[in-house]
Amino acid sequence: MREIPDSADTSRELSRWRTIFGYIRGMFVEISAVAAISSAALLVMFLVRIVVR
Amino acid sequence: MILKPSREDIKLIGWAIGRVILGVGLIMAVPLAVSLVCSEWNVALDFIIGMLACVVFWLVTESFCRTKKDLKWSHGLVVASGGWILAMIFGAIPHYLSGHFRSFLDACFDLMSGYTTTGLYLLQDLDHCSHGLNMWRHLLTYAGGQGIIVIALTFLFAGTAGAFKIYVSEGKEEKLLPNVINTARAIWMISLSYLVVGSAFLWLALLREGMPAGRGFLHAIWLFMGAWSTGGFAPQSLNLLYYHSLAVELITLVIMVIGSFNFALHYAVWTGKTKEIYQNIETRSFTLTALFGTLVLSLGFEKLGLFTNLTEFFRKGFYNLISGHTTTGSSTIYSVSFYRDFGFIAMWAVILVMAIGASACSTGGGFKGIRMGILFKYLRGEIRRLASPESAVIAEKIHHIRDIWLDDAMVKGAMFIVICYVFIYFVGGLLGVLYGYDPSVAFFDSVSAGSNSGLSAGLTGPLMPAALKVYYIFAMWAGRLEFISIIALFSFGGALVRGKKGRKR
Repeated sequence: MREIPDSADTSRELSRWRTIFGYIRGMFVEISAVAAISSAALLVMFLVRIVVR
Repeated sequence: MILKPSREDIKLIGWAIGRVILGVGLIMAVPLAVSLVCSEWNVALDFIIGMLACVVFWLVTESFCRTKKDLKWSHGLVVASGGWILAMIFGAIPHYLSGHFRSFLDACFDLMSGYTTTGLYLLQDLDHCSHGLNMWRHLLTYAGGQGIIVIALTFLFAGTAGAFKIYVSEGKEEKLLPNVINTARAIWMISLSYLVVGSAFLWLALLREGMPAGRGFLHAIWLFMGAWSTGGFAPQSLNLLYYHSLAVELITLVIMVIGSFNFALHYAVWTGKTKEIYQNIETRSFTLTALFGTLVLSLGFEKLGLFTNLTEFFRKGFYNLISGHTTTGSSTIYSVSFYRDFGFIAMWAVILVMAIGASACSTGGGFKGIRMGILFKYLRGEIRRLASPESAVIAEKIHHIRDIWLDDAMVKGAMFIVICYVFIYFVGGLLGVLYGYDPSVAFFDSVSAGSNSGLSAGLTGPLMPAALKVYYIFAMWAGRLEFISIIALFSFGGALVRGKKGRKR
């Protein structure tokens, strides 16, 4: 059986952590997008109140 | 299109549907385990009977329908649409045996509502429902949101070249990865990651509200499944109103909006293309239509002097608007409030955003953001063409993962699907009016069923006419599969009849 050198192991481990970090960053980006949309909607509601009254 | 299906064609379709039904039976193992842990022996027996029925059907199809042929496009379409109908019938067995339904039709209604992530229900006495049955209801929406076919592809179709054809036929056109099995697995990876994170946050929120740990844990999982799959089921008849918790509402709002995003968008953002979320045509389209809906909703409320407090507006108005727009159906008000309190303008704002719906290749329904984007860009191009010299070449493009130039085929395709949706919304509304319901209520519930939203203005219930129940089942099914597979199934049926006549001659 072919032996896998240590450096390959380390780079694979690093790549796995990079992937997991990417997923967590992705979640944060998506949550921020929802927060931005909700804030914009509240601003619209606020503006309607000011204009209509 | 299959003009004269051969015996081999029917065997191939039967074999593939058998695998889908086996998938349904395997999913029943989860509610069975829950009912065993909770000592709900009668409920456990219901699931054992349901699982046995699925396994027997699979064994029959494996014995009589096994063939070496691979699936073609026409087979894929028929497997997807026919598979959903049979999955509904087999999945309804534990529902019906539970004693919570007036008839098997009602049980089938709830099953189709679950699979299609609609959220309308005819179940009686929901507040005293067993844990096992509640787990089954919510698991249905979670599994249906990813796609029953996606489940079967993930676990039961490995190595089948025709798998992609059934996957596309289920209304999911995106290939996240070059291999369709890996695409199905990537969809599950995203969903399961959010399941862990979302349920944990909801559990903490419910514990903070004073709910016992065990009950809170189950409610957290169920609420997550209802929101993420844009199904909108909840374990209590008052839906989100039961919890009276701003934290729960905020968390479910975030989950349902993220759940309504395209899986290809999730995958792009998660793999480093973070700018995609601001550039994608579907997020832009969703933002614009959500803001327009908010504007109309605010005007409606201002006219009536309703929910003038910002927090009240957010919790009672915006939450339900977004719940409709993402086609979730979670609600923080009583059903009748849409008709009794919201008033005409605000009610039709919710109907409008429900009709538009969520993103393509997501768990949501409706026209879809990408089609709204395509039609908007097409109209803009036409206006620019009219305003430009005759020799000018006007071309429009949309951004969805990459830049795509608009062509006539895309516009026609989008237009066709939108017209089909409008047709099923209209027919359902008309049927409701003919049965004597107020037009706003009839159209509200019809659009809700056709767009797989699940909000109700009070029409949907165990006592509604049977013809409307059947029509809503059809509307939920057709809306979820986006018509093409349904048309293929009916064509296949017609071809079967024609084929028999041909042999007699």
